[in-house]
Amino acid sequence: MNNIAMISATLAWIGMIVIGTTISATYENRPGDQGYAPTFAVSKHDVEQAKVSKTKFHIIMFVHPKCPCSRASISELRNLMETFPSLKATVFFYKPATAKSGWEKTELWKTASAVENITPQIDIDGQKAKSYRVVTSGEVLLYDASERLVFSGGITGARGHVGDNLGEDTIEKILTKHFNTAGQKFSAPVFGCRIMKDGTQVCSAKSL
Amino acid sequence: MYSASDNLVTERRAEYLFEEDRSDLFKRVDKLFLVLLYFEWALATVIAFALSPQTWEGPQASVHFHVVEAFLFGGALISLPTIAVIQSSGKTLTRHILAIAQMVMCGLLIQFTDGRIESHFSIFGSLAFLAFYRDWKVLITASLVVALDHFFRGAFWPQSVFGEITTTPWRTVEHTAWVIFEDLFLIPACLQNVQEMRSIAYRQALLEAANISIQRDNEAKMHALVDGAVDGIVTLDEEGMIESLNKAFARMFGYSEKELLGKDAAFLFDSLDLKTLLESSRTVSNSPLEIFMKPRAGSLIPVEISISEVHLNEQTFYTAIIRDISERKEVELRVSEFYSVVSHELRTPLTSIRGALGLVEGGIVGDVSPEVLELITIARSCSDRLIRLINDILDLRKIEAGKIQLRLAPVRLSEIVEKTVAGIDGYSIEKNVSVVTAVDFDANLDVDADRIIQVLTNLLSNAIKFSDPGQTVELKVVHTESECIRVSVIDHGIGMDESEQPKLFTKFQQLDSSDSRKSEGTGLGLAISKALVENHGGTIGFNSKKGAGSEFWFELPMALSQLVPRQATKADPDTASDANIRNSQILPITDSKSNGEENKKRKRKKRAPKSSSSKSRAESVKCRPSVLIIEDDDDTRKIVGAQLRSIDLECIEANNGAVGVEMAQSFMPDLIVLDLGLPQFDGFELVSMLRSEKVGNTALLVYTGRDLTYDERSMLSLGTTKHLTKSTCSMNEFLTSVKELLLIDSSQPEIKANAPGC
Repeated sequence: MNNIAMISATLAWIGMIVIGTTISATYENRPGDQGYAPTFAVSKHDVEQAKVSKTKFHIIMFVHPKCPCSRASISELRNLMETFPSLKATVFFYKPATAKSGWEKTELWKTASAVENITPQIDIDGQKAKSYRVVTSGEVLLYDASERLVFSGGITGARGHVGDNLGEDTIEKILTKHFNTAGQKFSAPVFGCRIMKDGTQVCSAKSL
Repeated sequence: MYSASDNLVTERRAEYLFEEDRSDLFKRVDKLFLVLLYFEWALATVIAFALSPQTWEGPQASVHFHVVEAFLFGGALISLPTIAVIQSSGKTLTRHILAIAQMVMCGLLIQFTDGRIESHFSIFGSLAFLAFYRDWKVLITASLVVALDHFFRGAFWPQSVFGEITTTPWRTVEHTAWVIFEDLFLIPACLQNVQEMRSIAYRQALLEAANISIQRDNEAKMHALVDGAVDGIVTLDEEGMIESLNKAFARMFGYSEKELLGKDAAFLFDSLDLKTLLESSRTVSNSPLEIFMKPRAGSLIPVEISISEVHLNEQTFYTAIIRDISERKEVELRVSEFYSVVSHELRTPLTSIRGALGLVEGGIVGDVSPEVLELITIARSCSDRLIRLINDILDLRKIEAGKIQLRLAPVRLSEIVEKTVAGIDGYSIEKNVSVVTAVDFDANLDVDADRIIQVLTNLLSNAIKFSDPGQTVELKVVHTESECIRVSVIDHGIGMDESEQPKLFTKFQQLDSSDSRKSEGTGLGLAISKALVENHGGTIGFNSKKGAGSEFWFELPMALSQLVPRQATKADPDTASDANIRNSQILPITDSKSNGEENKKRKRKKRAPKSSSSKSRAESVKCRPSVLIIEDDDDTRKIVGAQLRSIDLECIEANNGAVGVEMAQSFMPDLIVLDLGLPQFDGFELVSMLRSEKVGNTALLVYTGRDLTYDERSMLSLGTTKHLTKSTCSMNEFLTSVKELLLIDSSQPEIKANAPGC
């Protein structure tokens, strides 16, 4: 290869690096689809802990048990639970109806189970997720004592990235009363795998 | 002293060495970085697969983007570095490509670890690694990539580089400043390293220049040395082609150097196979060979050639050093002739003197008064000593010249012992010392019997010499554990000091005894014995203690011998002829020893003349067997004749070769006693002439003062033939040989002459 060819190849190669790096960063920071979560909890039973909890809030989280990106979401939830010990959370783990017993008992299940005040539950065929119009693994819904939705969205800054993020920051501010939630509903982008292929009445997060 | 041009050459060489070293360094580090990049690519793929192998959509899974990204993007990232290292390793662009790839890898690592600050250390590590290039420009490129990566990520995806959602541009500046901070140390280090490399290259260039100068001097000296050598020196390749030669070599063969260079040297070696000769230098020790070589003109020249194999640059050469030994050979021939003449001229009259004295002493010529007999005995004894001295000096000369020839022939050990003891008998009687033999077994030896007898005689005579009258000398033969036949002579005489022992086997050494008795002898006997035993492949040694006697021994390897039962010796008809010797001398060690008086009686008895009453087979055919004596020396001829007549033989005499041939044809004698140095025809010519005549099968006794070689003995034969050397054989041995050749029973008649030690 002569010098000109080598230099040309080098320039092309640098271009490829720029494009590749951009694609990578874009993928990492592209949020998943987000549906309209119901303003009030679909079932009182799902958020009954909000009334007895000192914080007066209850978190519902939807997770695909095999989604690697949701590892960061569970980790951030654990941080949140450690910051607010009286906060209660229910995590619904998707499980296809046809899946074998224990399909959902992944590392994420075990991590969530190990955290105090988190109650893992199986969500057969994503029925619960559908009822709450959630389609992306890692989405968190925060309900207050009056069973009203005050926050919906993800608690990671990017796909699978642990660290500062808008969702967790918003929840912390709600729980510490820094935000007035009266008549307001907050949201943040969510990053993760799709819980199910065919989500109902989905609209994009950008439209919120 | 270097000139300006030498300096310029050195500087150019230094620059070349510097560039060469640097290029090697670049290539080495290129490969290291490529290996590192491949390692990082593989690691990223494995980690991506381990942490996030699949992405899910409900129950359906597909390969995760991270795995695809790590494999494809990582592969694309290292593709150009791979091509660059393969095609342009060591080039500037390759280094920069590798630097960019490495820093992008660092950026990805930081991204995948969510901008953890610890992962930023990979940047510092990579910069330090890039400093291995000792090229500061590479560090600038790498730093620039880091700064750009931080700038763009910090602007668009700050979490991927700083781990935070929001950040300020100062964060990028801060990180870039740390990179520049490291560069501030690494760049001067690179520059200093380059300076050191230049310095080392310059010193190496100087050293090389000095070495070349020394090498040139050495080559010039070596060339002068080789060209000035008297010997011819030639270097041949494996095929025998001449690679180089010196002037002496060309001169020796009458060619010019140009005529010989590159030629096949085989034509110089006459009929010898050069390749075999060269091959033999590998296996045979590097001792010189004597061969004949072919010069351009004239006859073949004798040379001494030493060939050594030399390996140079994976090639094999042969260096041959050739010395013209024509002059040496001529001198050797003259010396050999001189010794031949001297030995003949000295031995012949001495043999005559001894023979004449022996005849008088033996009473052949009538009774003499005891006073005269005593004087005759003294004169005969002195002539014996003189003959021994001449023999020893001639033997030593032959040993030193490496020309001693052993006439190996099968012989029984018992025969050697018996002959030796018989030969020393007179001396032992004279010294009043008993000789006792103890031989547990017999063996067939393949040795030169005369030489082994000479050794054993020397040891026995020394033992007798240093024993006091009435003492006993033991002769023992044993079979050692090391498969050798060991012959020991043990005396109980004065023994030796330890200080005297080391010089014992050296030439002209005679140890003085403490009782101030000056021993007679030349001081050559043990040196000659040692050489003779070693020529047989044996060893010789001794054990001695002052005042407690000595044991001298020699061992002959079993390869030369074969053990046989002792009885077989007794039944052997060949050795049974000399019953007198066996009966009187071969005694078991426990048998009675003969004392001095008995010895004296035996001596007197042997001296008494005895009439012949032989009834041999020869006598049954002829009344008196006839012997033709062909000898030019009148004295010797007369004495030999007298001796032969004393055993009742008819003698005819001839004083030259021509008369000898005529008389042999006319008289048809039963035996011819022949000297070699004859007028008209010498002994060789005479034998050659007689061989084709009717007397061709007549018994022949060659009786000469010369030491004959093996080839000469082969040439000197007619019918039954025997060869005797005048000075070394006793008169007894001479007469015994005559009777053997005439098929006369050795025990009848008794030999009248008595010459102990003759």
